[in-house]
Amino acid sequence: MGKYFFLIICGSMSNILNIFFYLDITDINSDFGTYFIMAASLAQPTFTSGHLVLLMQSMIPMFAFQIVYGVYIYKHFCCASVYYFSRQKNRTRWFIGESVKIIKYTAIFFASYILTAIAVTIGVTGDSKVVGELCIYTFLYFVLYNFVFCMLINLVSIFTGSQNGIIITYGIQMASVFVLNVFNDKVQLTGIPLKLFKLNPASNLVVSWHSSSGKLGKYINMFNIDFDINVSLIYFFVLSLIITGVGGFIINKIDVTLENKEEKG
Amino acid sequence: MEVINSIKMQSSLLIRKKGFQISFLLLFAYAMLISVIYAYMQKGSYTTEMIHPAMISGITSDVDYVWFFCRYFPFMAVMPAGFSFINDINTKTSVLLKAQMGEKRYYMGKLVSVFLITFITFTFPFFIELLLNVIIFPFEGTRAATGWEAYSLTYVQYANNHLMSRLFYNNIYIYYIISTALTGIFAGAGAVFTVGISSFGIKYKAFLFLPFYLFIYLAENISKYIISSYTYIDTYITIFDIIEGKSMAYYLTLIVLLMIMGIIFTAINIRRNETR
Repeated sequence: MGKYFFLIICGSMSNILNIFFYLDITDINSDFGTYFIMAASLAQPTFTSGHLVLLMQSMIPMFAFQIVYGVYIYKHFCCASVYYFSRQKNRTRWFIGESVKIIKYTAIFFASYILTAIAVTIGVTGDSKVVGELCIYTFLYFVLYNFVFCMLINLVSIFTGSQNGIIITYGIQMASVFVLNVFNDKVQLTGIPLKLFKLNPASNLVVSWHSSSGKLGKYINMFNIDFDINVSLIYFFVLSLIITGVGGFIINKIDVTLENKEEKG
Repeated sequence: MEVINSIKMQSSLLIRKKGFQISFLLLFAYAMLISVIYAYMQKGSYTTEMIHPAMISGITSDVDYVWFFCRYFPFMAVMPAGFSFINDINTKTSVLLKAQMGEKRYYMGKLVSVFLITFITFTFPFFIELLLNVIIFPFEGTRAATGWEAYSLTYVQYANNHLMSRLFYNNIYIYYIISTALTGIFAGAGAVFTVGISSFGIKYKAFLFLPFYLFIYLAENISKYIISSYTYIDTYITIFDIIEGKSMAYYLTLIVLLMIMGIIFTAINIRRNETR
């Protein structure tokens, strides 16, 4: 119970910190009453280095979450791994069970993150018109994105140690944000660059860069591109299926007696 | 004397570790890359329109991609020596060294060597870069990376905002060396802080990335509401930065705070181990 309480407190705290530290009201469409939700969903209006730095700064709670839950599966390899795994009849089933636990913790953390954003928005601006749809999408994106990277950290850590797991995944995430800087003035968002843009996990993470045919459409879609809001959902879903599948496959290949490290990982 | 031996011994151990070698090489490669990029960018331009050799560096604030460096900074500061304490426990080296030189000397040597190694990692690549830039680029180039003449009246208005602007007016090379050293000291303080935290018996190395990262995040954002000067660390760790309202006192306070916390945490754990 204490764990859940801690997660909820951390989630809402990180949202409050994000909102008050990195909110740049002047840059966001002034018709939109829900500035705070936009800040919580990492909305950035351009690809200039300044805005991308703000985006990365507001991703710090995510990185913190990933560091803490990046050892959730890996920890069983650090302490009495032979004892632990010799008592698991089906390792793939165990792995899927652990993945479900990670997704549960991710969901709790980001639910409290989003609920705080809604509370602050309604409390400060009194406007709650489009909050619902935007919040649901932000929540789903954040949960799936962080799940994918948590699993990646766990899997990389098993082979290279947890410090390298963090460095590699942090490198991937930072690089995927840095790459967006080329769309600032050098490359136009059409044709092949647009396709590459749609494959980038960082661009899929930000709801306000997507397009939507519904009511939400006129508030988001900052760059006027065809990038459907549901496609990213499928993209992240497929990524998480792949990573769980690959993890379930390679977890059986690990020889615990050889990989046995009775030490601090 | 024995403390110096302890420092020497632990530093030479750390230099042979992969963490130091990889992070040093990464920073060195980054510094060289910036020089090469600027050599290409200035290809064919008049020497008088070129950038001053000391102002092309991996940590000059107006150079492209410097925010790349700033984002990785808190992680890179931990990489060279931050895990040394946990590694010593894993390989049981700490038992041997403590028996050899005594617990206090071991910890003292540990903190100093961690500081020194991180300092070297963050300063030497840029010192070498300065040396190479002076050889490669012509001295006739007098512009800053922003495009203004480095000592023109326009730039001097902004140069007043440099952290040690008087030093900049006197000698650009000494300014470069001292402000790069300050960045190294900040990184070293971060590493000392991390080692202090790791003496609490943190189980996973991954968790050691968090303390310095969160310290910077909270320090820059909370002190924003407390003090009137500009608090974002990016503008302090980069040199030749022209953002207004930076304060040296704030920077030095952070450094001293990190160091003191690192030392206090270690001291607490020495005492705890003795009473056990």
